[in-house]
Amino acid sequence: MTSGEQSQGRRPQDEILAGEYVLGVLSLEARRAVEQRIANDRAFARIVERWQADLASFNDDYQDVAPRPVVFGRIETRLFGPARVAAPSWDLWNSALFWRWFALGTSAVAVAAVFYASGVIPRPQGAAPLVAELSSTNDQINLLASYDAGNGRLRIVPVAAGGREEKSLELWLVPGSGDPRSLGVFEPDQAGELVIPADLRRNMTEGATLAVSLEPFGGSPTGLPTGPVVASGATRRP
Amino acid sequence: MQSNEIAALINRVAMGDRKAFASLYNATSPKLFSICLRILKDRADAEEALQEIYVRVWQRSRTFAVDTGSPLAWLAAIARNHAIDILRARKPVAEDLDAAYDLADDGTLDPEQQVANADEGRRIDRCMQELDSAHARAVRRAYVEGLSYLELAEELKVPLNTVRTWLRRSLLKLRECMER
Repeated sequence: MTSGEQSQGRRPQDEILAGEYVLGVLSLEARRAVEQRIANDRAFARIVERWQADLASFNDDYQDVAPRPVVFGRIETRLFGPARVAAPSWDLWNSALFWRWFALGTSAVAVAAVFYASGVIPRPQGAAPLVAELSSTNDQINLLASYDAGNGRLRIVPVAAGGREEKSLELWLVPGSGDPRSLGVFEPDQAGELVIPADLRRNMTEGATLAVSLEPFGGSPTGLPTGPVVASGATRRP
Repeated sequence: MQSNEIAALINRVAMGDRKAFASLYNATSPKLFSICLRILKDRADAEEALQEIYVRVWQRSRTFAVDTGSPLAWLAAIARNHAIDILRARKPVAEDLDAAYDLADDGTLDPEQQVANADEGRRIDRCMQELDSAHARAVRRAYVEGLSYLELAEELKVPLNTVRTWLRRSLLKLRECMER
């Protein structure tokens, strides 16, 4: 959407303002205002990017100075929480395993692909979404991928391998001390969303550990994870 | 490290690769730390800023696209923006955004013209030489040290409005020269 407003990006005033922003001479308030404009005005954002590229050779004036080694540790702690003892990563999306599954899925070899004739997830247009179960031979989790051609969305939900009627994946909140508390069971038809029980929401804070365990169908019979724990990790602000 | 290697590292960081993040940090933190030191002029503040900068690098790595330009320029922009923000918050400068643009020449410019050619750096150097040398030095110092208009005015011992006017003229001249 290019409005008349936005085409003002062609004025010299915008060149100057963008240049002032990149030079850094503006006040904090003015910088915030410019950033607002960058976010909302693509033409103006391009002018800023151009100044950034043009003036980048001034960066040669900054001679390398190594920071103290301790700094990187602090950055890692801020991003990933305190160092953990070889815990498996919850970062499913980033794990090699995930991409291996994904590769399997896309190669259409050694993949159990199930196309449901009837809509598993109801859609207004009535056309059934494509569903594929991405699996490998000896893992505990499969990924259920469902593709909605109507809006181009692909959803991937983790499901327990070996028959969804036999096992369930359960999500846990792991406190610093004390027993893990169940946050719910992943249902394959709920698009990977879990509604956290109201009384547990205040515990869903940055740094809280989440874990997923493989449980008998429907969830742990004891209220505590019976395992195995297939993934765990600390929460952080993205 | 080559520019394309740094770009590859940033893309791996975008996929959550912590080892790539460590490599990226090792390769680029001396430069970004230098930026923080030069602008903030305080080691503790610079270390603090560097932490926040790499947290942002991790978070924004998904927005980095190879075709937006040099990965080092991308990283440096994150670092400079944060360091300048801290500096401005530390020493607020009163100055309104829409202070009059009292510029004589209103020539039309073409921002659509494509950017980031390989010789961009050399072109800016040539264009800087076309500026009055005192003005060129001030433009460069404003960039490198994150000086505000007020600080520039104090250092150069000229009125604030004078500094503002000729810095803006310098920017316009640079832009016109770069487009030739």
